[in-house]
Amino acid sequence: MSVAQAEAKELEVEQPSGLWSDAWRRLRRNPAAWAGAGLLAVFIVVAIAAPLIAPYGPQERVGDLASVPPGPSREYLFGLDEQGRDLLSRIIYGARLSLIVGVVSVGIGLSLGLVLGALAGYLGGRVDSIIMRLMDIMLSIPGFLLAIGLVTLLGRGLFQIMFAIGITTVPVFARLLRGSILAQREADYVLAARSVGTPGHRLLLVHILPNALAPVIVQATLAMATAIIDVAGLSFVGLGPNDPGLPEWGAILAQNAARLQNAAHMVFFAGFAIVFSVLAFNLLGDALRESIDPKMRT
Amino acid sequence: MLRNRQIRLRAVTLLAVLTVLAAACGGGDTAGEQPTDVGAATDGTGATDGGTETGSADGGTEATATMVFGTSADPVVLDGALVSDGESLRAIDQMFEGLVSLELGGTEIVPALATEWEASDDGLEWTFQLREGVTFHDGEPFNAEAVCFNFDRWYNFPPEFQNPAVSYYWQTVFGGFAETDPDSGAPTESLYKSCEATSDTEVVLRLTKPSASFLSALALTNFTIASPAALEEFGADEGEVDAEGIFRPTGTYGTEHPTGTGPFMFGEWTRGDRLVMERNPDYWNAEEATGNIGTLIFRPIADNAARLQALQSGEIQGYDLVEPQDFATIEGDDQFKLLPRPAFNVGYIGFNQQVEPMGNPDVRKAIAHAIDREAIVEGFYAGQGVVAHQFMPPELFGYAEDVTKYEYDPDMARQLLEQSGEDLPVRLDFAYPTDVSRPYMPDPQANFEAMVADLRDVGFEVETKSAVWSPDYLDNVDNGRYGMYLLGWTGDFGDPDNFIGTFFQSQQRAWGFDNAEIRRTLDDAEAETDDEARVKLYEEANRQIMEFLPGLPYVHTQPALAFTANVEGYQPSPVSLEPFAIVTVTGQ
Repeated sequence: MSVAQAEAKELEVEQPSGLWSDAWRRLRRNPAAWAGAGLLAVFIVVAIAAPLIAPYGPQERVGDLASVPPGPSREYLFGLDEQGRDLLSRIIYGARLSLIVGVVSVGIGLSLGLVLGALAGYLGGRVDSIIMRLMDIMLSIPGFLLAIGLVTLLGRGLFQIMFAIGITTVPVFARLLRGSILAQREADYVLAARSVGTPGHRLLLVHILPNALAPVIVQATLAMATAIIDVAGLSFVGLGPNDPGLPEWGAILAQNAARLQNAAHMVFFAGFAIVFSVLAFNLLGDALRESIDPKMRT
Repeated sequence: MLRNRQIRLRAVTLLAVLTVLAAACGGGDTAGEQPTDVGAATDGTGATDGGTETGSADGGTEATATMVFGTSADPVVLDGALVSDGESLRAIDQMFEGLVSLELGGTEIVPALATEWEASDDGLEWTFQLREGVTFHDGEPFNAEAVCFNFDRWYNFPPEFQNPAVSYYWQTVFGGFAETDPDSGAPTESLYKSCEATSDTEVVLRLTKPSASFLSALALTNFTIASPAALEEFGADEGEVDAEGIFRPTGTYGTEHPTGTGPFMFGEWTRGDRLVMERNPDYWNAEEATGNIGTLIFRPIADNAARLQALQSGEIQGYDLVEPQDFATIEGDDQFKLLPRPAFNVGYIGFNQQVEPMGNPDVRKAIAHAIDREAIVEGFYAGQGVVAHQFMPPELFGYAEDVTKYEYDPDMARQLLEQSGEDLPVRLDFAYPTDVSRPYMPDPQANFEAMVADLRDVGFEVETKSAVWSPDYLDNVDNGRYGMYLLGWTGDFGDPDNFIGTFFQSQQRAWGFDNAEIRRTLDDAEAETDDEARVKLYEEANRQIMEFLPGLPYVHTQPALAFTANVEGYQPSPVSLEPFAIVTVTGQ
């Protein structure tokens, strides 16, 4: 084997070791990431397989109506709610709702934020000023307050709620991406691509964006957690989904807060479900940040 | 007369009430000297039986105890003529008295500031003999002129006070004003004609037409007599009405100087924190006001759970509107006690017949058969409710045993739906209020969810709606924006006119129908002066109403109050207003 061949081989081995594989390697070594991913996996499996796992339907009345419903028993592990429904089944179906809410609202926020942030960051100038001042205005209103306002305005359908929560995350994503793009725009590889005549849109989509995306992914994971809390919060202040029968965790929590003294199980289990799902996203999000963020690279 | 009832106002008045206080006192006085009605006096003493050794026999002289009572909100303003909410009336009730009152714990009319009265044969002229030797808190004498001053003040309210939200009870009972502003929404005709002070102690009230419920209505806390000198000096009629129809005084009468004749006098009022009332040392009926409370404090605590915690921590000695799920907690603890009120309300599902398909009687009947009212009342009312089969409580005269009852029968409901001629599945539009707890529905959402489940079970497709209670929900109901809605009513005085008359005697957008037969029966009943005939007419009205089924009544409840064990003598009233002057707090 010639030296040149050996060098070539070495190069081959080195080649796949890009940003993502590096990140993946670091992620695998982080126990918090495993914990977060594990919780998240449970959460997602439960959400998807809810009809298979849940012993009863989310609306099925298995006991009597009671303002103080029976607590956990062998038959009903989490106890019943005031409508005589199995709380375990409702919490399981609730995972589905929370997952949908998290994904859809972050999806809305992310896509709008990406477009605005990319435009602002790449085009710069007046477009940048206008978009970013708009984002500043939105940021100046506390996110939850903005969500409350939007829900009041749009109505209390499930989609409206997801939309409202999504909107509140737009400025965060937009700012993040803009900053990230600004940092990449002057990087050597971009200059190189530009100098060989790569067209602008290709430069943005193929070269800059993938490299600028890392912090956004971290933020998206964390935003899932916030979205779940926000929906719960909206339910808690009486702006949850219009149909009170939906097994939404926050709604279950809010509705039964007054029963804390005599039927604590309803508050307890719903609260735990929220805590663990949020924890899953947070753990994973933090671990992702540590592994992706260039500043944390060794 | 009862022309201008907006649901919105009604809602505000759900807790609204009467002077039981004066009943206790008035009753006591009659027990002493007059051969008329002694029922109230015996009730009053009966209420305190057992453990009253500390109750001083000679009333107010040893009144040194302090009691803090947890209310659900601040009063709006301490002027009975301008309020319709329960918390304002609760406070006003401690400081003011009317010509007549209700017996303690009941709805019989008993003397208060008037000792006896007489109606002319045509029912248009009422002569009241007034109690002598009564003074207002500011030392002014109570006399016939003071009575007429008050009535004339109400009758001559300026346009801004004619908003139905401000002078709701005047308009409900008496109708219009001397010069009714056509834009105010107030009725144009008035039942009230004039007031004449024929001597110092005799007053003649003249009406424009006979009314069977006039005397009962006079017992309302809204028609209590205030000191004319204080009204004038502190600008009771100065103020403006804001966009929500709430009176905002600019004078200080209703906020700093409410002056009546009652057993408690105004002390100080810090909004959102406390309303302090002091015992009136010159109270004319000290003999009956046997309690030992010298300082009475109303502390507003909006949250139900927080009120319970305040009781448990000793911050307050009692509170109103206990939630059914807390009944067991309170009853299971020796330190506390639970006092249920007599059932004097009705919770119902209203149907708006202007919204499809509520105009179809088969659909309404299917709904009635589909909903398991028994299960809801048993499950959510902690044994304090009974299933309602008509729009007024069984205690009231005119209640008909033989109305159509619509038992729970899902099969019958499905069958009715099939023969209704509507396209299946039938879609319903059903709403409930959030953020509210009412005596007749402590947990609206629980009721609502159970009902929706029942409706879906028989094949209805239900679109669920909700809104915050005030003002959104009540506005929507009032303006007929819901097809079906949860609502209820707590009686103000012991007359069916206050229940079914309020609901159905005039056309309302909330109900969206005009049934001439029912209206005629109710009109006849209100004008009928023969008691027996009146009872029959109201029974007939109830039968007609339940056959027509404009809504589905589902519960009468006994709302409850909670107290610490050392509070004695509190006498719950069906109209939700009780005197603290007869309450004794021991161990202080």
